[in-house]
Amino acid sequence: MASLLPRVKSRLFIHANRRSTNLLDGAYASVQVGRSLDFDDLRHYVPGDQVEDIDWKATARTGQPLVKRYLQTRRQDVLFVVDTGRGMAATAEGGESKRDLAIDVVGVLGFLSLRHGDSVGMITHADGRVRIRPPKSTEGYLEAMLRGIRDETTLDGEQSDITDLLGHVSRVLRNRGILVVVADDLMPPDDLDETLKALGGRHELLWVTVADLDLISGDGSRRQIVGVEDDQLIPTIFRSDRKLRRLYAEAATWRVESQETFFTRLAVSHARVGSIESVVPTLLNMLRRRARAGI
Amino acid sequence: MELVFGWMPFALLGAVLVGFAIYLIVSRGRRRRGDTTVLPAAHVERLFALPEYRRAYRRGRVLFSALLAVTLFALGGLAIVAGRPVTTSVVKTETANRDIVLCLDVSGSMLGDDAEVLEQFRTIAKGFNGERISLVIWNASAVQVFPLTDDYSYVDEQLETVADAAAEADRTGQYPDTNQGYFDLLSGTLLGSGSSLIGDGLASCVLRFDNEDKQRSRTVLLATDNELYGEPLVSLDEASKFAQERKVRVYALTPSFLGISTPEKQELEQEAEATGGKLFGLDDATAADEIVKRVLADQASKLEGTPRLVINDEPGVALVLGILAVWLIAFIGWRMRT
Repeated sequence: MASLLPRVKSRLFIHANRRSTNLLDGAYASVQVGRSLDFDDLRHYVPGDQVEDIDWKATARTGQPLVKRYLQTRRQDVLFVVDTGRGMAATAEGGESKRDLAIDVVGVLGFLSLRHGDSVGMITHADGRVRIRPPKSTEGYLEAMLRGIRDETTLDGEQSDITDLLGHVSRVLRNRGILVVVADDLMPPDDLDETLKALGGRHELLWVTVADLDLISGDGSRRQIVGVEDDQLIPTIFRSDRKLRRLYAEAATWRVESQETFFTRLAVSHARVGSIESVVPTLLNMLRRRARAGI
Repeated sequence: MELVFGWMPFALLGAVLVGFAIYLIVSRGRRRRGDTTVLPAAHVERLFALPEYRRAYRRGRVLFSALLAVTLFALGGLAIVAGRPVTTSVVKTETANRDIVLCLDVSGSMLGDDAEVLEQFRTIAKGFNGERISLVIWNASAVQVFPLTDDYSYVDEQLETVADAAAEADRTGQYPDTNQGYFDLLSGTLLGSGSSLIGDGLASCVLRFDNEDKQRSRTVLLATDNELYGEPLVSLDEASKFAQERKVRVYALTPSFLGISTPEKQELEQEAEATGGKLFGLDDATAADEIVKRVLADQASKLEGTPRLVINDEPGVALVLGILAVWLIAFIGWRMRT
């Protein structure tokens, strides 16, 4: 069985070498100040500070009690919430399987997280049950996650319900962490709003949408398009209807804009990937944007 | 209208059904999501929900139904063509079993009436269809103008030629000049002792019939005034008996400006009736019709040829409709592509 992670890594390095590979460091820098070996600065002692944190030499120099402040080196948990429903086994915008795009997204972000010293975990719907893979920090574990996505996402699988999955996350995920949602190309349902607000309060949220195939243009071949929901065939004759093509394109543009507006309003980092080639640049772009603007 | 290969439409229907079944099986296979020949896509309902899609879908459905209807129509038409449509008719050959000899007296006494007689002959000839007709003119001896033939245009042409000469004779009161292109009424008709030898003329006409061993309907149409000058080899009575012997019916046409009750004409009537025929006056407007009717009616009962089955291929209508339908299919197919 071919390994999935090396493929992702090689793709990542091609892109990441152009700039600093440390791009990610700023992306989700810890805002927590705590106790660690990394010295940050000194501040005045306030009652309640631990006595062993007092920097006696500095106190002696200044005559006032000062305590050392350390950056808290806290290992982040990066939890991937991955849609493995039937819709994700369909064809993506670029003609590849959306499942392969999801594997690449999780692979890239997971690998960057591991290099950063974080742990990666995953939560999916599998066989009608929620399956949780608790965070661990080995590449072997990440590889197992990627294989999990590959095996769980089938055309015979169930339809996905991302809201339900996220609701589950908000119930079980107590520790503060980073949530990366890899989702179908969906119009944000109404109930998603509340769930995301609840999650966003406690976690960092990143949302990656895997874009659907253009139903009119297809993938450039003349293969017939069949809906995964109920095997409905799109007759080829409609694909040459110019007016229909224009209206469909307008509707598609409107959907993309609505998605963007929705996530911007909730301050959730959002990226939309359509093809394998665009995965790494799009994700790096999202991370850069996050580091700079926080979203 | 019937089909030679009556099973053909059913075979075609079977072929269509088998083809449809194969299509269903193949398309069922193709429509399955896992098939690599199709692209699985999510959220197709986003396309289906567009009003424009529903409009295009309805339009496509109309076009498709039209295509289906026309295709079935074309298949039907071509199935009929493939079945080889024929019309069968039973043709009786009786019409070819009658021979009529027009027997015209061109003696001086008849010269004024021959044009009229010939017009009657032409009318009578037009009443026949399939019968063979011959023209014999006689005076002291008989000459055959044309032999038994069913080439009616030729018959009419020849009758007209003779009629022209007769009309000219009527106008001038003498035999017309052959140098002016008129038919020679004298050539070969004066080789006996005397003129207007009725018995000789009739006997000669009776001798014109061929195929004596075959049972055919034979009729002589004798146009004469029965005014004899000279010594005939055969008397009218003998000629009449000769005709009866050979089962030849004699109808007589006679000029009637003196009535038809002169002794000569009574004799003529008697002899004609002895053969089963009848005497008609030239002024009798119904004579031509009556003669035609009698010849046809009387002899149809006597002789009926073997009925023959004639088969005519008639692909015409079905073929044209089938081809038009195929054209229509091409047109709709083109509409559906654009």
